[in-house]
Amino acid sequence: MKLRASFKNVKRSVPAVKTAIYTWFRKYLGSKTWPEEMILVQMVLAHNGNRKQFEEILASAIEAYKAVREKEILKRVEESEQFYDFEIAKESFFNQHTDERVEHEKFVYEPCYLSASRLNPEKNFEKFLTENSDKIVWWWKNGENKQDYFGIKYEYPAGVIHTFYPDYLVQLTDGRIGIIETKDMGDRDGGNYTKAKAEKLQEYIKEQKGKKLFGGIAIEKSGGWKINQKSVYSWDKCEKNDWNDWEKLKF
Amino acid sequence: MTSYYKSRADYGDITSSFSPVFEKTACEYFGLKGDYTLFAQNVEKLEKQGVVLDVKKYQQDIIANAKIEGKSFDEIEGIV
Repeated sequence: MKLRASFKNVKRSVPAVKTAIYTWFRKYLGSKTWPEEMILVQMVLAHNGNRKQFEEILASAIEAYKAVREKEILKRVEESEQFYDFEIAKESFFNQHTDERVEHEKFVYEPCYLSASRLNPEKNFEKFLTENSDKIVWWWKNGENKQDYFGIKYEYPAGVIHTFYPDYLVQLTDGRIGIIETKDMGDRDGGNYTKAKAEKLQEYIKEQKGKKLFGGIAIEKSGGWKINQKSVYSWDKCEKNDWNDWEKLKF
Repeated sequence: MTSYYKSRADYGDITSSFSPVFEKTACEYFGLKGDYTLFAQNVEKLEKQGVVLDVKKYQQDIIANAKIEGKSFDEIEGIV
């Protein structure tokens, strides 16, 4: 019996499962009065004649628990979530072990330190930014899982809440601010997570009225960058080599 | 620009809220009706369904210094 995808953290789960079993043995079979209670409960569970039945019970209980846990998580998310006016932090500290110094123009901080493990589409997009630096006031590389970073709430699948951290914010000389998420042409999440993010980003841009925002998923194709700003993100078209929903990214 | 933040809520784990779910599932499986004062009756129900619950026998195994193999239980732990 193995845990389903939602309960992969075995180490954190074992104490709660053990407690549930011991509590049940005490409550219904009076194991509190058994000498060497815990050892005996373990022996009962592991006994060849018993084990199969208890494994069946555990499997059913874990299956039933999924819905309970999902509600619990949703409640915690609702309790902890915050919407706030975003500002890029005035200063940022680099990590000498994980970041590298890079020469880029118009990066929001001077000098420019970026994660050494960032992906190739990101590195290539940064080159593109430098090539277009005459049209850029500043650009900023977003991070993840901190309030210092810029996040957008989205759901995937329906009811499961995530935070989308787009890769870049770019302030242009014409006053517009670009919110860009880079991907490569082989994006495996194109039909699921990326689609959910892309469509949520377009909704977000519409909602933030009067802020001169634009943005979308950007992909480097045939030596240039293309952007998808459609309200419906149809990755299946790209898989059929139809790129009509994408336009050349120009600043 | 409005930004969104939530603290992490899902660690992919089973928590204390599993206990009542396990209780309900186990009781339904063995046909126990929630009267948890009648231990003897409950033990009898389980034994009728093939569960070996002879505490004295298990105890004798310990007393006789039989080699207790923790492995089987550990296997259950490992795969839960």
